[in-house]
Amino acid sequence: MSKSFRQSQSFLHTWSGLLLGWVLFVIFMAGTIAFWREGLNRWMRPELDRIEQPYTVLGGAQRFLQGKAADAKSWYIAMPSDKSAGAQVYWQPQPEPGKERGGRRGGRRSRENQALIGADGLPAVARETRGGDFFYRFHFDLHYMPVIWARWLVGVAAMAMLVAILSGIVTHKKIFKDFFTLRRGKGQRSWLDGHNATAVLALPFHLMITYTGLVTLMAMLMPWAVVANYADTEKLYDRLFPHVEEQARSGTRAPLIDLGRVVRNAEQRLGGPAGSINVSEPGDAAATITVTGAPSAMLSSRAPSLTYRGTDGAFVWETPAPGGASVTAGAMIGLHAGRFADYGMRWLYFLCGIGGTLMVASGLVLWIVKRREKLPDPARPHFGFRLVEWLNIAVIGGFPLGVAAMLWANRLLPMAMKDRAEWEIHALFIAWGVALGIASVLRSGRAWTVLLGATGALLATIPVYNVLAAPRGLPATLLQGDYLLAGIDLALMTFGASLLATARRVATYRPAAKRPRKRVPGGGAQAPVSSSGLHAMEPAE
Amino acid sequence: MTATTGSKGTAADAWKRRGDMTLRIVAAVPLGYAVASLWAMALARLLPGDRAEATVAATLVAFALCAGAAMWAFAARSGWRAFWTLVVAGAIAGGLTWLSIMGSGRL
Amino acid sequence: MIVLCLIVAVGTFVLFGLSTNQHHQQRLGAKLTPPRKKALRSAAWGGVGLCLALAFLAEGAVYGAIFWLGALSFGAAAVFLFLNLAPTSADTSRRAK
Repeated sequence: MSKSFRQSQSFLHTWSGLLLGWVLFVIFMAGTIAFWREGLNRWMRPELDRIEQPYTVLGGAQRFLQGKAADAKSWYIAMPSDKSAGAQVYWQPQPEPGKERGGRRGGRRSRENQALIGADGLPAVARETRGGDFFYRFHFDLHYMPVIWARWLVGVAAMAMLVAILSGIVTHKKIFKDFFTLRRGKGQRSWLDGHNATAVLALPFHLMITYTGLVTLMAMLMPWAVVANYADTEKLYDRLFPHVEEQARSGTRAPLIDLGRVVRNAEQRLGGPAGSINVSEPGDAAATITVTGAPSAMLSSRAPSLTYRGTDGAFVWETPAPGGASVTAGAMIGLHAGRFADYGMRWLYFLCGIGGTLMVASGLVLWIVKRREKLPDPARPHFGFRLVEWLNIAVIGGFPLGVAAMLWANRLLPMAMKDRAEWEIHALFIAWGVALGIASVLRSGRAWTVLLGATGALLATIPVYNVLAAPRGLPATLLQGDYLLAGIDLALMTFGASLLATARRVATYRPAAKRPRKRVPGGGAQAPVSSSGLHAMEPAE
Repeated sequence: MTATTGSKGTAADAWKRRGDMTLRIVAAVPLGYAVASLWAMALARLLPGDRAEATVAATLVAFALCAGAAMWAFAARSGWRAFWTLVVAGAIAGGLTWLSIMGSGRL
Repeated sequence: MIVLCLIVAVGTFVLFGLSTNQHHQQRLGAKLTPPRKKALRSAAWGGVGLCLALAFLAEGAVYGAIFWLGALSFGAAAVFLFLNLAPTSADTSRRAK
């Protein structure tokens, strides 16, 4: 590989990584947390019991919807499992006569038309929270902005990430030779080794998650192939996402069959668990029940659906097998979301995600460390340096603090508070704002210590609070064999302890005295300065 | 920027560098996306088989083309070379797409 | 089977790691010779293949391929951390002085 090609890609790598690095850090961190989305949905509603009998919940959901929304246009029930907090149900009321129903999917799901059915089949009584779903949504919709803007920003960031990974591979000269190299106490070179390690060791994951991330947004980011082939996009979507034609309401009342019977039949036909149930025109003679397979049961995100007649449960329709490109796209989206992953695979995804988050963070810090060593006057760095350093502290130190604050808000905010779920999220951004302030006021070393230390302390103590004041603490969850909840508490303690240790490391760091760079006038040799033994360590190779 | 030659030479060099960099950045970001999009359109028209499948396949590939264009924009010998090669690549794709649509229309 | 696959992955990267000068010197106390380097690397590549076979047996073709890549990353990271962070005999003797 020619030297100038490598150099050109090195420049590209630095800038594509730097310009969007802070956005990428937040996306990676939120996305990594989102792998435990369902677990957090449960953890953030500690009042709720684990679901043992999904069909009991389903029966309860049907009874609830029958009572609450007997004449709705449609019902939606998310089939629960022992990992979910409950069965999320939505219903869509009949449109007012004369009002057009816009779009294929109909109206927005408002807060009034949803409920959570708990393990006993009754509506769950739990604190209002977005749970783990917040982290999932946030990593592509962000917050406080129209989702289209957020997705464009995330899409551009993902493309920058892809370019950074590919150019990084080209630039990395001795990728195999230096595979196990970690020079310690060597400033910029240590940070480079760390950045390389987190990048290379999980390289297949990073490439996959970035490319597939772009694919999940492809309809918005790259609609041009559609434009080239279709004047009427409805034709394409009907081909790619086939569904049963919606039946008009007949007006004749007819009771809906027991959904449990239909779902059991569907699970038999699908050869796997059901994921969701959609009932169109319940209580009417023209009612239909569509059961979609669970995404956990297959790699593709596009699970097949089966449609049944609502009155007697007769099987009516099945999704036709998709074509090759559709299967590929579905598999790519499925790989990204990782819903197919059981615990073992999910842990690998999570660890790789942590690696990716550290890769982005170490890259951003490396930029600063490298340039600090080259500053002509370390006391007065140029504006670009100060800006990057401030952003590093504010984002890498601030966002994790926000997450810790949000988890505490989930524990402490009053149950009856209005807009409680939104306020948990406001707590995240308020804490992040405070971190921004700290980054602006304290010098960098002190700011890092304060932010990392505070985050560490907050995370490490939540499980203690859980034991003392929450319905379920670590001893209880371990005894019940509820490893999902126990695992989250243990992970929080581990992250907390690691951050505290890192904060201590930063606080006690004493950089080695540098040899003076300036040449003695007259062309004399540089005067050596004795330093601490730190750069006596040379790599053995 | 340290002056090693006469001041007139370095000022011109500096502008040359800025121009080169600007061309590369334009080549990488707006132009690269446009070229990838045009090739997505051309592939969607030209790939054999079912139109819906070809459309999806072309879209999946387009992201790799976009990244490739950005890498080329910086690897090319000069900013100008990066720019005109991508324009040509885009024009070819655009031409193929246009001819195909003129020929058999859209669904 | 899954656990075995992970163990093999770790073993594979131990072999790869020991086939580098620095870590061979630090952990085994002897200089790395070219024939030994070749032997270690061949064995390690064999481990990569064995890991893939075990992953296929455990999870089938599609999920197996995915798990194999995850297992390799896990093995690489675990060995990387161990080789670089676990104290060597040189460290302990330095501390004893």
